[in-house]
Amino acid sequence: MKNKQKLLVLLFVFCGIWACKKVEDLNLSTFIGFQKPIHFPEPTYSFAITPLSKETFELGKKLFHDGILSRDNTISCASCHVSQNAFTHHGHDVSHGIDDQLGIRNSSALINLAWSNSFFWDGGVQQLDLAPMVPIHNPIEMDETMENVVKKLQAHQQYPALFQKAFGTSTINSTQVFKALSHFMVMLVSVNSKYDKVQRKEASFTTAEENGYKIFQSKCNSCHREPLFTDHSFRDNGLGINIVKDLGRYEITLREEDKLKFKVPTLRNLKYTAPYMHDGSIYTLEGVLKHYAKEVQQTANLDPILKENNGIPLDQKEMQDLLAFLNTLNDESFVNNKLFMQP
Amino acid sequence: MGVLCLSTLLCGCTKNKDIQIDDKKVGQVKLKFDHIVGAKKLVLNDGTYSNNSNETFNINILKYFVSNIKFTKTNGEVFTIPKEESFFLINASQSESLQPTLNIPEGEYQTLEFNLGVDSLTNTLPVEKRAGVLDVATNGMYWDWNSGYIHFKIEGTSAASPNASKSYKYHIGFFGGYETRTVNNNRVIKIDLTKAGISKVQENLSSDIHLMVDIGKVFDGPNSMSIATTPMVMHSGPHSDIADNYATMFTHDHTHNFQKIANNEK
Repeated sequence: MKNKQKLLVLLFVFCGIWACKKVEDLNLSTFIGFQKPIHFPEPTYSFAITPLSKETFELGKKLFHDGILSRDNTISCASCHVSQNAFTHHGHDVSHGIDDQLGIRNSSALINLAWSNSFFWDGGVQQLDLAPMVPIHNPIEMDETMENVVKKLQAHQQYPALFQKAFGTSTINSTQVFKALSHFMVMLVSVNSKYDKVQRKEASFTTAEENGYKIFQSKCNSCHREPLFTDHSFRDNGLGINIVKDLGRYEITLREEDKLKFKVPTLRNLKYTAPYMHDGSIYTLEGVLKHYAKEVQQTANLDPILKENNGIPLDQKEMQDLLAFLNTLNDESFVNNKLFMQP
Repeated sequence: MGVLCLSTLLCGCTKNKDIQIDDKKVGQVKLKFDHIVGAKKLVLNDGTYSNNSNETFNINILKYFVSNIKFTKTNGEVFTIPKEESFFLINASQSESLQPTLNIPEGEYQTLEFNLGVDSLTNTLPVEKRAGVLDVATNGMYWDWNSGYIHFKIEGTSAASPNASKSYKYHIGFFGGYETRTVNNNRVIKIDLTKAGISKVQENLSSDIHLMVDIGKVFDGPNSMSIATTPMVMHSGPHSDIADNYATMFTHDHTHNFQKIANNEK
């Protein structure tokens, strides 16, 4: 009997500890909504008309990972935007779509999108809410229509109830699909790299990192501007015309001066996002630096800064230091965040 | 009996001659878009037409936006339809779309003005505000990868077309760009109503303005379009030339004033 009591007490204590642990875990993944990091500017994405909630975010997350958005229900957003790869398709030069078809551009990493004022490598879309329609309609990506997506969601066992929770109506429309997907995507905020910790005075750079930071500030920051590491502009970085004759920004504006210009991508999380450039044509970061140092082509619209300096002159030591700094932009907590992973 | 007839007639005449205008009262205007190709009535799919390049063709799809509608009174005063009530998608395959009705203050109007297309401001609206004909997902009048509405869309077939399916397609978009200036293919159409009958708007009655829309002008306007040389015009090609052509499609044919409004239209 005494033994039994002891056992019970032990059991209670154990349960208590276990419960505590559970609560802690819960706290870690508690939904806190969208928060602007201290050293970031105001976001461009507006929450004015449709507020972001746990429900709209969760619905967006489910949609993002669901092949239901594609014609044969096989390709989801997450097929080419994998959370562990900072939401790009690591190892793939160009995007892989439906029926194993290939696109012509590298799938963009989805990082800090709430601060973007245009989307895709050519900036053809200016509102995040209107971005998902592009891969959904593209015959070599998801090859589906929004009308059919809405029909499939409406007939689904779970979705009508989830839309009801998120938007207060079980009649699904495409605007709600777009808002939910956006509410998931704007939450993909990467702000816990070593660089960010240094900014918050929680860490300090090594000598190599510090040297690299100085080189970065004098040679890279004009386009890859802190703290987002992009100025969201379109520039020709001297890669020259590729095999599929992709003219980039020109395809949108039809202006001669936009030929071969592409969006300046963020430099955050490069560790997880290789290969690099709009067509995934450079496989390593060393290769990227070598391109800027030695291989820049004198194209008609080559960026003035690159033209002036004949690329970005970097010696071997500078490259090593710069790589050390770029390494501080990797955010392990971002790529491992359970909140962003497939439900 | 004769006296009664005469007095009714007189009464009718007086009514037509000097109407009582109270611009606090609102009446109806109906814009009737009658599609023709040259002198022929447009019959989708089955009608055969020809252009000045000696090409015969048919038309399977014809859709365009009419927006930002304005009326000018005989005294020069302008009435602008509120923007949110001022977008119509004219679709040749949907007869109900061919007669937009508008509510405007009583008065006599001598000019009708509208925009063919979707203006740049509307092209930047948040997605929540894009309902009805402006829904980006449902009307087939929106470019997704180069964000923007298609102002005007015509598709059909022609033996002159060099492509395998013998089709031609003109999808004309471009609204001027968000931040980078691009081409703007919106066209403002101004129609003088004085020659074929001004619009007299009275409460509880409809003034029906009949417009003839000659789709032949798409090929034979200020610019000549040959299906053999330009079967596909969308993001590239002479889209602005086609916009200059569609700007000339509209002529005012006649106006029927003081029409009874059917109960189902009220």
